[in-house]
Amino acid sequence: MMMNVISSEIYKIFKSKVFYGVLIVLLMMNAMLLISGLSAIRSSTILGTGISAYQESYHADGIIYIILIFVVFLITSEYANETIRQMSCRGIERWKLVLGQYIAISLITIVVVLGFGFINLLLFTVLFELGEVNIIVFIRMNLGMICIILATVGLGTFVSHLSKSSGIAVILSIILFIGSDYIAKLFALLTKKDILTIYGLGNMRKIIIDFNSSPEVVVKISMVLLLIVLATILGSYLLFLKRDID
Amino acid sequence: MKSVLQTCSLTKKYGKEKAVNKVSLNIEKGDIYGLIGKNGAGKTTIMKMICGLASQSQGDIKLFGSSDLKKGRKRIGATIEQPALYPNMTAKENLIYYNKLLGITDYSNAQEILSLVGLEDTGKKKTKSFSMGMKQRLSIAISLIGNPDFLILDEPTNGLDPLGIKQIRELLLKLNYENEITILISSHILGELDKIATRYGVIKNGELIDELSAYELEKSCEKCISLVVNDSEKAVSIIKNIIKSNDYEVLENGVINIYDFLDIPEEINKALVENSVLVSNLTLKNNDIESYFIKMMGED
Repeated sequence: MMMNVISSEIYKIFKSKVFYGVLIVLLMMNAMLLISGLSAIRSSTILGTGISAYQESYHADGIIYIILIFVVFLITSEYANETIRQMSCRGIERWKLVLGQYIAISLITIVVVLGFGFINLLLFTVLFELGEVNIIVFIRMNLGMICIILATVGLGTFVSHLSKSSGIAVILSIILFIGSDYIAKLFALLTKKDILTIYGLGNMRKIIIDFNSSPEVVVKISMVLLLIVLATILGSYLLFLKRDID
Repeated sequence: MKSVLQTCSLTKKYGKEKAVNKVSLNIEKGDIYGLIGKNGAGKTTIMKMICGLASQSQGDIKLFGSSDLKKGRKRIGATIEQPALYPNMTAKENLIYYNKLLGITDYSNAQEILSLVGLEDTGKKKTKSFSMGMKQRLSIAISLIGNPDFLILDEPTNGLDPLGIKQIRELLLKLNYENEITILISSHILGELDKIATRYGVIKNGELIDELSAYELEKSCEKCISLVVNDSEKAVSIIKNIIKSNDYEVLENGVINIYDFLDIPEEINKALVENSVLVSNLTLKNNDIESYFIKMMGED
């Protein structure tokens, strides 16, 4: 039954306008990245590499906002169109609906986001060179990015089920993302442990994509991100579980 | 007869207000059960609780004789309130989605179901461009995915033109007769229900105030001469032997309803009086279904 939910959600995503809107935005972002990269390289004689372009694909906060908007619009549209009512009266447990939807959105988002990154890597490799990186470090970075995507999708899922409105959910999720860095700083101040400042979502992303980050820190950050996934999915399920669906 | 739905003292409270109050329904296999009530009476709330969209505050629900509602709800198809469709998908794509959700891999049923509800020619038109009637038909089509044993339809003919209403009515009768699908259908348009329902439940202010079969309703609405006499036994003997009527009904408190000889009430009165039966009241009753229900629901 879970596979049915996931496959039906994937089918629905491919039929949605917001998916193609997000693809276009990501395409434009990556095109701008390519153009600005090429200009910087030409003007300052910096050699571009596929690896550096791949890192650069995930550098901007914009990628997180796009993922949040994508998730929020997919889920809140179910409330707006009232299709959540039709989904929920077919005898499928609500936890399967929440989890299945989360898995489907996460899979698509990972494929798309990492896919665009790999396109940049290929383009820059063809134009210049691949560059050098330790394969373990590269894999660790990618696993970390997957954790970032999973946590971001989880956050978007939670605020969508909380607010049921796309506008409020978008604002709330962006505030939570930006605010997480400040909350981490506040904890660091209160506990006098500066290390806690790294656990804001923005900071965690920067550390993950930096090949020079300590492996232990990257692993810890990945654990924290997976905890965020658990908390947000559990929260979404609890919100959805006992709610009367209008 | 196997029970498809049983509710026992089903109650739904919103704060202190009871939207549904101790409703005990029993729907048998093969029934077309018409749930009648004004807007806001509680019909939709009852249907939502059966489908699992709303939790009950009190009471029990059994589906197909079992309290395992997760299992029972897999055998239900429902359309509750207004049509809920994916606006950027076509009719067929909406059906394919629900096929996938229920694990049905053969999508050929989608075109068959669209033909059943009269949407076979919608092609690539997105549902956001559909009329209300088309959306309603597609909503019914969605409820048929998975070959349900029990259909729950909340005002399914809303927005349909008279021909569409007739087509849906014939479809429901066909599904009930050929596929043995039990149907719970709500409406505030009595004229629609009385053409298909085999049983009725009347909801008023969240309470089930009456349940009756189609036969009982017909009898209640049948034209008759209603008498109030001082001696029912003697009056019956006169009705049988002198007036020669066998189509009558003896009720409490000296009330007798006669369903034939409606054109000669004066002769009936004369025969009774001449044989020392006092007639304190004689009226020609002519309830149509609408008047009957309006009276029951306490309206003038």
